[in-house]
Amino acid sequence: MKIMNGSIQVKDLNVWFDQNHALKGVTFSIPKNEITAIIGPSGCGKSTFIRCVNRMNDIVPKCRVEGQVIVNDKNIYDPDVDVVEIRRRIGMVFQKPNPFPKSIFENVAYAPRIHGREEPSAKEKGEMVVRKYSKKELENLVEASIKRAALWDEVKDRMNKSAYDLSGGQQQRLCIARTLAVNPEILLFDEPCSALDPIATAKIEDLLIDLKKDYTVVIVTHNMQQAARVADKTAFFYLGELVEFDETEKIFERPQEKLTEQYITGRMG
Amino acid sequence: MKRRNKERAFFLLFRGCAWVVALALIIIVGYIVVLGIGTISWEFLTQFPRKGFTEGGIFPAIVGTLYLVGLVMIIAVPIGVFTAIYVSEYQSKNWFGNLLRVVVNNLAGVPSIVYGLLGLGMLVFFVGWGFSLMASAFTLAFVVLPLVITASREAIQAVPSSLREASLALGATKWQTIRHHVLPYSLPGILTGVILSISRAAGETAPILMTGVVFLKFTLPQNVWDTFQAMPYLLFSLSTQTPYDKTQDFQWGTALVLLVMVVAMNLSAIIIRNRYREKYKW
Repeated sequence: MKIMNGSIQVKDLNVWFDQNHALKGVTFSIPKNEITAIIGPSGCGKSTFIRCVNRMNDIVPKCRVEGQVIVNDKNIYDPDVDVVEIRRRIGMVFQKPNPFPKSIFENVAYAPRIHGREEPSAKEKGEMVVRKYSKKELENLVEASIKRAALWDEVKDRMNKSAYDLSGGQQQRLCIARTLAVNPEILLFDEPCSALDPIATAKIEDLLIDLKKDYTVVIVTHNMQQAARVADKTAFFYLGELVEFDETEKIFERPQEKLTEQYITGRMG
Repeated sequence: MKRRNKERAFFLLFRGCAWVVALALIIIVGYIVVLGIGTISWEFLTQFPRKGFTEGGIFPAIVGTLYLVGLVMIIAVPIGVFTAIYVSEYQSKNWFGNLLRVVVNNLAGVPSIVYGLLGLGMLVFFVGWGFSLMASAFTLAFVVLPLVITASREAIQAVPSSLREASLALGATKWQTIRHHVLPYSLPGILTGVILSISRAAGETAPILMTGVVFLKFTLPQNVWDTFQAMPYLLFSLSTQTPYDKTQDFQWGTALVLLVMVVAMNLSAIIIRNRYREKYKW
């Protein structure tokens, strides 16, 4: 499989949970400003893969990662890499909506508040300084993020209400807004619609397509129709291996591998 | 019909037991209130005892208990909460975490008189603090530590891991995640443990008996190296070393003050817990 230039280059990625070899030599390249879907049967390693891209597997005990994930010419597993910085630049939205038990505003304002605002230094050229957001800036940022996540009209009158008063689909879009507020480059979605009804799912899918203009999007899904609807490229994982990776159209209409064809046509998985 | 009779019998048995518990509590509390209420007055709460505990009040014992409890909390709460954070957030799976868990669970079962002896041997004599408020407070802190740790650990572990992941995925550090999410969300549980341990500390006699409490003292403790009076020990001394017919008013009065104090603390634990539960729901 050839390695294209992309936003995320994965080279020979191996993951073990204790003795269990969960990802085996995965190599491929995720293109910039496109949606890449990861599909495959349960336990195939698709969630494990996506959690490697922002190093969320670091917090899993007995998890060992080998290989390279290169983002902006830098392997994020290099020892000198700051994990916290990686996670800020590579946002993640989880399977189950997980807003903080705080107000809608506070959910989105949390990350900008802890990271502060980065801007060019007035004294030294080329240097960046971090300062606190002013109240007004924070309000603007929260509003912009929620608008970007297509949630503003539904919540603008109740920004100080608990995030738990929202519906599941709204909560998930709030989680997306929360991730957008730190201005990441890459967005990872780990089965973001599996807990949502079809209408809420459609809204998230529209949002994903809209977001790819500005972000590189990777989405894990066990719903093949969803991959076919939203993704530009699709990767099929099976038993910890990357079986096939290509244009979504090709994967669904002319798969090269027998395994892919069996999975797509529902004879396996 | 046999099955229905069985059903009835067990229902009555359960209800009977519940009533025994309720009645026992009502009788105990009622007895103390009825016998003690007559003694309670402003004088009783604010004056030193006079004429062999027949006049005046138990002011030094109330103050001593408050000092003691305050000091115990200053020692035990930070150590207990930080240990709980360490065990549940940092070292949950390795041998040290497991060891800590076993130690804490077993410490909770050690009789408090054993702690008293430990305090006497270690703090009073070996460390050389003498009979003092400090030695008693440290000894009591050991007694309540397992309580604080267990309650805090359970509260911290009840915070869903999805919230920790959400915070970490936003680029928060582990400490920021703990500080901004885990601790605030688990605060009601931690506070409950703290307040329950306060009421435990206020009522314990054995650990302080051997390390610093005194029966007769006509000054308040001047500093933490001074001896002190405390309500549970005063009650014990009055009932074993003075004639009952002379000091019975003082005994029941002291028991009532102690009871009210402990009940008030437990009530406030419940109120605080419910308030925070309202605030953080998931």
